[in-house]
Amino acid sequence: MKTQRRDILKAFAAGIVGIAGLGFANKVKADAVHITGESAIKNRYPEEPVKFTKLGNLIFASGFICLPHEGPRTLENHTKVAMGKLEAALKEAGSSLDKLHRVTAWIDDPANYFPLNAPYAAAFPGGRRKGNRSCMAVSPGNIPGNSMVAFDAIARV
Amino acid sequence: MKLKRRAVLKGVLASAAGIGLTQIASAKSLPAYHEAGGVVNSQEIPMFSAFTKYENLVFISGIGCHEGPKTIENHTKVVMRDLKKAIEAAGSSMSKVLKCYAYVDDIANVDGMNKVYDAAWPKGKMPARTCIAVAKGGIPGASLCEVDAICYI
Repeated sequence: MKTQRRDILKAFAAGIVGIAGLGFANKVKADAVHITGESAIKNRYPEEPVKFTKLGNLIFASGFICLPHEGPRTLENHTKVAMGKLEAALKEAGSSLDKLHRVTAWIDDPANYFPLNAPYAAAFPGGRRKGNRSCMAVSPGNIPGNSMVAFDAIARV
Repeated sequence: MKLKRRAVLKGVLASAAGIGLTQIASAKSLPAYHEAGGVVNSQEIPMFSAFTKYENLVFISGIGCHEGPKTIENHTKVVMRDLKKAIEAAGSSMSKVLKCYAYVDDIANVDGMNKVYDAAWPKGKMPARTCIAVAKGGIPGASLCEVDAICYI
């Protein structure tokens, strides 16, 4: 209870300082609030139980995948589902696909490298990919849940 | 009395403005406090740093296991033990870890790794994670798993 009140006061103070324009709120400070975005159901492996963590205004999102029961096993569907989950997590963290610094993408077949680009761009608002991306292919079946793709992100509030 | 109040107010405003100005000045030219520690050499050539720091963010290099029985439970136990050492050596702690990448060299070992991995974190402070299986033998040093971390001080 004490730490909760302290955290609220800290956030309030940070807000006031930010409004006052002194710029403290923009730095990733040691006492910035550290939030863990856990899923409502614990132990949701092969999906990650923690969707994102946040330090101040910096967000680290976990890797998101498409599970076997979530539609046909096509690159388009898997990308749509996994990016949809990433977008939902970013929204919950107070961010969006417009405020990305970096996405890391994994595919389970090197032949999918160029075909990935169309459904990946389509997942962004406005249908245009944003931000930088690192993309890597692993062996078939090596993405948890036998997903064809995985995406994670670093973003800001 | 009036003069005194005015002087005090002026003083307060001046110091506030002073703080504001120095803040603006420092925000524009942020000193890049970048520190790299624990450089690892291979054949006398520096390969990587065990950790780097920027402001209060800490990036820990990937840690594998090169000892003990070749089971996923043992390898994960050793990896998480050594990761904890590296995180604490850099001035952070297991309750201040934001993001981990976990690599296994066999997708079938993910469940075995998770059992040990989950137990390493304080309650409610699990980091975000991306877990990927690489090709067999793909983790350097024939380790069955590797974990890295982004944390803060």
